[in-house]
Amino acid sequence: MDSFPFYMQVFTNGVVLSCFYILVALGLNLIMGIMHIVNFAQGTVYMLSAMLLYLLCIEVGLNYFLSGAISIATTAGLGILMERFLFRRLLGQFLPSLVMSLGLLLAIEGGVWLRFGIISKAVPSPFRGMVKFLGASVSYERLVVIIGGLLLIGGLFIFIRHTKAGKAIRAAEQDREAAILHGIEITKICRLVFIVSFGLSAAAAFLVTPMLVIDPNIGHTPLLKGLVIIVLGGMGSVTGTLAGGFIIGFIESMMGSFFDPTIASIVSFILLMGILLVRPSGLLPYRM
Amino acid sequence: MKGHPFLIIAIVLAVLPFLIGDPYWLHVYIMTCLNICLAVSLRVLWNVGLLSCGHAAFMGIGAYTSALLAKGIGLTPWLGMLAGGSLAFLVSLALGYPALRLTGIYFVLVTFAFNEVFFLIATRLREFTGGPSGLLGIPRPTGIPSGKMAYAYFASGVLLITLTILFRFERSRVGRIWLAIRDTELRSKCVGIQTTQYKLFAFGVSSFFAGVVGAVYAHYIGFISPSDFTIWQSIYAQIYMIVGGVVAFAGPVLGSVVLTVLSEFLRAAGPLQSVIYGTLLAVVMLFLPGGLISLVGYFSRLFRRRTKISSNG
Repeated sequence: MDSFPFYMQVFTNGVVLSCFYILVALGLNLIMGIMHIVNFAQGTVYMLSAMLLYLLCIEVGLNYFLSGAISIATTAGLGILMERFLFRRLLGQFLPSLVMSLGLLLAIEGGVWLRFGIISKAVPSPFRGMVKFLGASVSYERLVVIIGGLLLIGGLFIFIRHTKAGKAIRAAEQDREAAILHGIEITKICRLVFIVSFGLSAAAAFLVTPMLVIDPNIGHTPLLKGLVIIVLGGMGSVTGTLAGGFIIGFIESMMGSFFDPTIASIVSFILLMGILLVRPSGLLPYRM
Repeated sequence: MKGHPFLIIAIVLAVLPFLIGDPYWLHVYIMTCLNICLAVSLRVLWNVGLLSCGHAAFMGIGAYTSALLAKGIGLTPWLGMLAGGSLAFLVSLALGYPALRLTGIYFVLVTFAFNEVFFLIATRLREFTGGPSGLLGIPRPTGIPSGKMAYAYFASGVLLITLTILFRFERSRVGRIWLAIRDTELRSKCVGIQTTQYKLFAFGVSSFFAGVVGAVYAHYIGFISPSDFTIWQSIYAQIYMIVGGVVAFAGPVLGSVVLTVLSEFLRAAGPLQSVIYGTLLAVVMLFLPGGLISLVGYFSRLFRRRTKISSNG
C-alpha cells in the first residue's frame, strides 16, 4: 500500500476533490459576499446543470463539449432569472431568503426527479485513457478536472483582483452604499455575480460529471462541503476559500483512503469546529 | 377570553384528539405537536438572535439517552425523557460555551457541523446505537395504554407544558434580556448584562426541549435510527419557525401546523410533493417575508377597517 503510486493516487484524488468543492464554494461565497445570504440552492444548481448535460448528451445526442457549453450558458441564464425575480426581492432579508433558497432546492430536486427519475445515471466520458507518471497512473478524466479546475480558479482570481468588474464586486462587498455613491450599478453587479457563480457551478458539473454518477440528490454533498469550506476559509475571501477547499479536499482524500469516508467527514467537521473556536472568522478572513 | 389564551389552547388540545379519532390523522396530530415543540424551542434561540442547524442532534441525544436507559437499565421513560432533555442541555452548554463566541452564519455552521458529527457518530457506534439499522423495541412510557389516542393526549400534554414554560420564559425578566441581546447586543453588554451567559442559557433551554421532544418521539415510534436526526430534520424545524413568522410567539406554532399538515396532504404526490412544497415555501417567503403570522395581522386590520367603515356609514 505505502508506495509511490498509492500516494500519487491519494494526492490526485485530493486535488480533484478540492477543485470540485472550490468551484461550488466560490459560487456560494460570491453570492454570500454581495447579497449577504446563503444560497442553499447552489449545490442544486450544480445538479441541475449535470442533468442538463445528461439530457443534451444522451437524450438529444449532442457532442459532450457542445452540451457542456449549452448547459453552462443555460445555467448562467437561470442565474440571471433567479437574481432578477427571486433574490433581488428579498435583498437584505436574511431569514426569508434562506427559506426561499431551501424551497428552490426542494422544488428543483423534485422537478428533476419527476423528469429523470431517481435512478443514477452516467454520462460516458469523452476523455479516455491515462497518463503514466513514475509508475503511477492518472486518468485523463481526473487530469481534466485538475487542469480545468485550476484554470477556472486562477481565472476567477484574476477576474476578481484585476479587472474593473471584479474590483466593482469587491467594492460592493465592502461597502454597498459607498459603492453606489461611486457610481457602481449595484443591480448589474448582482447580476454579474449570479452569472459567475452559477457558471462556476455549471463548469464544475461539466468537469466532474464524466467521473461520477448523477441523480437528483448529488447537489447536497458539494453544498455542505462548500459551506464548510467558506466558513473554514473565511467569508468573502477568495484566498480563504482556496485554502479551505484544499484542506477539506485533502482531508477527505487522505482519511478516505487510509480509514474510511465517515472518518473523513468527522475529522473535517471537528477541524472546522476547532478552527472556528480559535479563529472565529476563518483561516484567512477578508481584509480590506 | 383574551386573558386566557392558554386555557383555550388547553381545551382545543383536549378536544382535538377525540375529534380526530382516525389513527392515521392521530399520528399526524402527534407529529404536529412534536414539531410545534421543536419550532417553539428554536424560537428561544432566535430570541437571542441565533439560528441553529443542529437541533435534530439534540433531539437525537434525548431520544438515544431515554431509549438506551429504558432498554439497558429499565429506567421508566418518564424519568428517561427528563434525563434525555437534561443530557441535551448539558451537551448544548459544552458546545455553546466555545461556540457562542460566534455569531450569525458562523454559529449556524458550527451547529450544522455538530449535527453531522452526531449523525456520523450515531451511525458508527454500532454496539450502542445499533448503527444505521437503528434501535428497536423502545418501550412506551408506563401508564400510557397502547394505541394512538392515549399517546395523542400525552403529546397534547407535552405541547401544553412546553408552550406554557417557553411563553412564561419569553415574558419573564430573562426573556426580556434575551430580546435586548438580540436587538442591541453591544448596548446590553454596556449596561452590564453577561450576554454570553444569557445566550448559553437560551441555547440550553432550547436544546433541553429538543431533547425531550426527541425522547417523546422515540417512545412513540418505538424505533429510532440516525437517519431520524439528520441535518435536514434540523433545517425543517428551522423552516417551520421562519415560515410561521418570528414576530410573534404564535408564529412557529402556526408554521409547524400548516407545514406538517401540508406535507401530509402532499405525501401521496411522490416527487411532486417536494416540487409543490418547495415552490410554496419560496412563494410564501417572496410575498410574506414576515411569515404566515403576518397574514393574521393583515386580516385583523382589514376586519377592523371594515367594521369602522360600516359603523360610520
